[in-house]
Amino acid sequence: MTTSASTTHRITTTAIFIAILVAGMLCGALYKVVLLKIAPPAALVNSSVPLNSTSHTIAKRGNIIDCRGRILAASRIGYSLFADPSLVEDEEKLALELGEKLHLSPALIEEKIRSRSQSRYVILEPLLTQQQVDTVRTLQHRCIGLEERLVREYPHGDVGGALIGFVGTEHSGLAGFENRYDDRLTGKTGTLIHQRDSKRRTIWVSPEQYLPTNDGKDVQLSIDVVIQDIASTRLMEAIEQYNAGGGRIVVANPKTGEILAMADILNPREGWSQQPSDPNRALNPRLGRNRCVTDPYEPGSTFKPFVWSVATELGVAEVDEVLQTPSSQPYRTTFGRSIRDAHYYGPSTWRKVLVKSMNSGMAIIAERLSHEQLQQAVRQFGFGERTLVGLGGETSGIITSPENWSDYTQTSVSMGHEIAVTPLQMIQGFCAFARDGTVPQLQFTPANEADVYIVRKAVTPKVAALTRQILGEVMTDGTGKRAQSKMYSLFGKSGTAQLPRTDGKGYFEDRYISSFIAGAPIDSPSVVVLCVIDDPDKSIAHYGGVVAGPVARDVIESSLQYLGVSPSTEYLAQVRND
Amino acid sequence: MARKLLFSILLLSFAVLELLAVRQGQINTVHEMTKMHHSIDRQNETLNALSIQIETVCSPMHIQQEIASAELIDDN
Repeated sequence: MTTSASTTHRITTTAIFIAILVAGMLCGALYKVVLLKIAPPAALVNSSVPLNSTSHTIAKRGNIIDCRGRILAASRIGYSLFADPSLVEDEEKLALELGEKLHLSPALIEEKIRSRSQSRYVILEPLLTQQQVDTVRTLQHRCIGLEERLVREYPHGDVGGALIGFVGTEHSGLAGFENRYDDRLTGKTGTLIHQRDSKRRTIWVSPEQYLPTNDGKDVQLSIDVVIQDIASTRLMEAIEQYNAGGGRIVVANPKTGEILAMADILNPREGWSQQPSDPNRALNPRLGRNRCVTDPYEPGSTFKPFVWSVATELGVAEVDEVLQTPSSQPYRTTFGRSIRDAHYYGPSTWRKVLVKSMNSGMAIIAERLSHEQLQQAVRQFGFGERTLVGLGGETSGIITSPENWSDYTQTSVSMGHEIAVTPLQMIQGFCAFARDGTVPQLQFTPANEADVYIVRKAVTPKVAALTRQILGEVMTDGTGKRAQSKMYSLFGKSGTAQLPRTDGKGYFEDRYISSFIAGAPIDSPSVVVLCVIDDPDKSIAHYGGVVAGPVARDVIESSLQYLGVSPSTEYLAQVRND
Repeated sequence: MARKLLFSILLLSFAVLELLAVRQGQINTVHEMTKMHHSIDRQNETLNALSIQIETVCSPMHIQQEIASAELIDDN
C-alpha cells in the first residue's frame, strides 16, 4: 500500500514536472515569436529577404497564320544580356570573359559598361542565341543577368512581308496586318505573387493576388503562302524580263471573295524619269504602301468587259450585231473625235469588238449609251468606291464627276481611259463574270461560299456567263492568245494603257501600263488574277497580252494545280495520247 | 488525473508535430508545383521555337533554295 502510494506520488510529480517543462518551453517559444514579430534584432532584419516577390509573366503575341494554318508571324521568348555596372569589379576582365565565351566584341562590352558606370542597368547584347543563353546560365557573375523579351519571327521571310507588316520595339503592330489586328494579337501580361522562404523557394502562391496571363489571339488570313510565293516570284521574273518599273498582282477566289495573294514590287531603274516610288520602303520594305490598295491606274482595255456586259444587258447592242467599225483608218465619232485601233478589221460583230479589243466598236456603242447609263455601269461594278477590304490607305479610284462627264469622257471610259481604278477594285468587279453577275465582298479572312457577302448585283447571270464565254474567246482568238493555257480553259482580257505624265501634260507616247486580268477554269472559276506591269521597256515588249498575260496564266496554272483543280478534259486526253 | 494530463500533453505534441508535417508537405508541394510550372513553360517555349523552325525550313522560299543548291551539286 505504502509502495503503491509512493509510486503514484512519483508519477504525479514527474507528470507535473513534464507539464511545467513543456508549458515553459511553449511559453518561451511564444515569447520568442512575439518578440521576433514586434521587435526583431537589427542583424536579423538586415540579413532577411522579402517574403513576397512579384513576378510578371510575359503574354505572348498571337500568331498570324495563313488559310492552311501555316505560321506567317509568331512570337517567341528571347533573352537579352544586361549588366549592373555598380557591381562590376573589373570591367576589362569581365568584357574579355564574356567576349570569349559568347563570341561578342570585348571592346564593345567594356565600352558599354564604362560609358554608363553610374547606371544599374546596361544592355550588353539585345538578343542572344540559345547557345549564348546556356553559356550565360553557367557563369557565376552577380553583375550580369538575362532578361526575357519577346521576339517576333517571320518564318517565310519576305513572302507577303508588306501585307503582314511588322512590330516595333514595344512589340506592337506598326504596319500591315500586325497593325490592323493589333488589339486581337496583343496579350495581357499576368502577375504572380509568391511567398518565399529564406532560400527563395516558393512556399505559397496567393490565389487572390494571381492575375493569369492572357496570350494574344491568333489571326487567320485568307492568304495562302504558297500562292503568294508563286505570284510574287513570277511577278518579279516578269519585271526583270521586261525591265519594268514595277508590278502588282492580286489573286482571289471569286466564289468567296477571299484574297489568296497580293504582291507589289518596285524596280528602281537607272536613267528612267517618273518611276513609281515609295520612300518608306527604303526604311523598311514592310513599311511601304501597298499600291494594290492605294494607287489607282488607268485600266485600258481590261475595262472593256465591264462596259461590254452592261451595254449587252441594256440591249443597246446584240452579240452578233455587225457594227460599222473602220477597215483602214481611225473611226470618227459623231462629235469629231478620232479613235484609233491597233488593227483594223472592217465591219465587225459586237462579240468581235471585245475579242479583238476594238476601240472603235466600243466608241460606237458608248455613243448609244446615255451618260447616266455609262456612269451607272461603272458604279455597279464597284468602281469609284473603296472595297472596304480593311487595309489602310485604300483609295476609291478616280471617276469623272457627272458635271464634267463629256462626250469625250463617254468614249474614253468605254476603252478604259479617263478613269483610274485600284487593282483591288478591278479584281472585285471581275469576280462578277466568274460568278453569277454578283460582286462579292473581298476579304482577307477565310470564308466559305455560304457566308459570302454580296455587295451588289452587277449584271444578270445570263450576261455574266455570256461575257465569260466571250472572254474565253479572247484567249483563243483575240489579244490573249499569248497567255492561253494548255492545261486550263482561261477567260481574260489584256490591257495596254499609255502612262500618264505626273505633271498633267497628257501621256507618254512610248511608255505604258501593261495589264492582264483572267480567271479559270471557265466552267467553274476557282481563281481570278490581275497582273499589272508598270512601264515595261518598249524595246523588249509592251502589250498587256505579251507582258502581263503569261504571268497571269502561269500564276493561274500553278495555283489551280496546287489547289487540286483538275485540268481540262482536252489536256488530259492529250496527255494520255502522248 | 496525472495520467490524463500526461496523455493530453503527448496527444497535443503529436498533433502539433503532425500539423507541422502537413504544413511542410504543403510547402514542398507548392514548391514542386512551381518548378513543374516553370518546366511546362520552358517546354512550351521550346515547342513554340521548334514550330517556328519547322515553318522556316518548310517555307517555299527555303525549299526553293534547297532545290537550287541540290541542282547545283548535281550539275557539278
